[in-house]
Amino acid sequence: MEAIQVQNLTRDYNGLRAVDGISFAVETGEVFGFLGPNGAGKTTTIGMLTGRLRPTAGQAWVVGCDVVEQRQQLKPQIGVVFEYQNIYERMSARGNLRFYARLYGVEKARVEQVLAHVGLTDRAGDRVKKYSNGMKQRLIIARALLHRPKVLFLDEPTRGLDPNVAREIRAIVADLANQGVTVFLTTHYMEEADQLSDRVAIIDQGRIVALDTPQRLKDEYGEHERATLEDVFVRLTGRYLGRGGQEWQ
Amino acid sequence: MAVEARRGRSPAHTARRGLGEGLRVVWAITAKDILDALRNKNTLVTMISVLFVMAYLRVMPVLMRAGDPIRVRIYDAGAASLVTALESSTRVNVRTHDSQQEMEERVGSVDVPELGLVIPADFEQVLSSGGTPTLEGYVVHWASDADVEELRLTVEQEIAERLGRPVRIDVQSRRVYPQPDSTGRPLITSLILVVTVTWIGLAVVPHLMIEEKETRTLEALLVSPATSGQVVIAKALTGLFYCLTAAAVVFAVSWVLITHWGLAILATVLGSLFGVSAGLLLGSLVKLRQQLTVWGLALTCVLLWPVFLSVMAELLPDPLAAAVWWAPPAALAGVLRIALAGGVSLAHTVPGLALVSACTALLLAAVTWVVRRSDR
Repeated sequence: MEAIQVQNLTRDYNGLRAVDGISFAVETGEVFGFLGPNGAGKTTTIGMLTGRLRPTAGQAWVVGCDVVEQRQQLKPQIGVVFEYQNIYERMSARGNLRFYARLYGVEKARVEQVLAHVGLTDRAGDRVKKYSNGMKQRLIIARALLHRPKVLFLDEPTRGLDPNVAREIRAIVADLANQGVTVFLTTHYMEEADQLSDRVAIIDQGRIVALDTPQRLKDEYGEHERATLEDVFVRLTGRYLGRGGQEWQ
Repeated sequence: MAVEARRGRSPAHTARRGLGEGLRVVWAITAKDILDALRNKNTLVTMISVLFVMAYLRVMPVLMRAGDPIRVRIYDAGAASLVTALESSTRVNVRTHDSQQEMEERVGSVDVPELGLVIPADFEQVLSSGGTPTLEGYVVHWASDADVEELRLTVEQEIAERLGRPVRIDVQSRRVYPQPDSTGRPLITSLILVVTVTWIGLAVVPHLMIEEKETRTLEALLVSPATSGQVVIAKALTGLFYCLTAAAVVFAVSWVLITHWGLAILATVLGSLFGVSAGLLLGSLVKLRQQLTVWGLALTCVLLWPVFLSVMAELLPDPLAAAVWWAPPAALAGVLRIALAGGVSLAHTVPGLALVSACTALLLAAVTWVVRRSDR
């Protein structure tokens, strides 16, 4: 069964096309990597799939809910980890989670469960302001998991984190996938996408330029046997990496 | 809806459940904001500033009069020698008035209780016939019994010393109520109330909204079951809570002044709603804290200057005095002055209350339009 279905999804900003008629589907329980250079349309796509942005054209369904027409029904079924750390820093981690628990109508005991899940129980009473970036990110993931979402959107969840914390977060994501949660993941770390994703879509200038399992993408687009996903990504999207702004391809 | 129908639930049940969930969301955000505002230095600075201004306006007149002689306002109906005798006193400061009405108006317009006296036309005759003349004494209605007794005894003693004969001052049932255009404590109190609710509405509510935008927690809220409308309602309720709490402090300090409680509370709630609505519109339109500082200050001046101008309406050209009334806070101040006055028809308050209500409704409509327009 498809957890996410997208048909010709398009979004314009002030006459500029950020997402240009993309279509794909994500199976329930799948970890779907959504990769692309800066400004390719990843965050805009997540914005539309989570009901925050209205598509200019096209349609999308998440857990069977139309993201425009059934936005309120969609909300309790998805969890979102944003590309920035947006938490109430004057409140404690427990205070943050209890607040969101009230919003979602989730029992208080669940707060302690997710705090334990992300390893923050010992510092749960401290103000978030005193947390390291890694701890804040774990709290944001806890917030996204609080109401047991069916689909989890992770927008660059390990950006700027030290390797140890990034590894912990990848372990949490892998664990969620094992529990059957559908994960929609954007990242700039190709190794991370390769390790976690069942399938990967590469988006460039608002269009999906490749979509398959990481291995098949490497087989199809790799220039040698030991080609990595990063090689594939650069080959498909790296037109402007040459010196002096000349096209690389 | 189809699922609800399959489960045999009526649309009314679904609507009730939706309302319940909406209330839960609004209450969750409101409770969070009320508690969080206490940890926010911007809110704390605003609240402390308001309390400081309230205390300053309340205490300064009293401090400035501390140690001054007791002021006695006299209407002398018979050109008695008593006035001349008292004018040389160091314990009392005598002011004479041409009519009893003028004397009563001044006694009702004070910051510190003063004694009004009516010297009857036959005062000298009674005195020369060996009798003990009785003077009618008038005191502002909010003066405490102890203050009244002290005024009465001090002035009786002073007159007895000056005339060498005792007199009696009767202050029973002669409490004076201020007029709506009176100065003194009622005026100060009405100004404090208007400034408090307008200022808090304009300062606290936009800060709550801007902070959610700047820290991008608003986006996390909007992917939760909260809608943008519920977020705005919660911010409004938080602002209302702080406005009404501050107003309750003003009422607690000034409860003796209030003659029409129902009107005072109604006007304060409407004024708070107006301040909060103006704050909501500001918070909806502005995106950065720096912009908020500039626009907040400008809007505060635009809204509050007419209040102070309305106090000196007699000195203003007629068109300006009429224009000033159309500023909702000035109209509100007028209504509150009536709530703190006596012997006035409450019908005079209807235009002011209607103006404040209409402007609040317009502001809320504008906020709804802005929020819907910016929503996705």
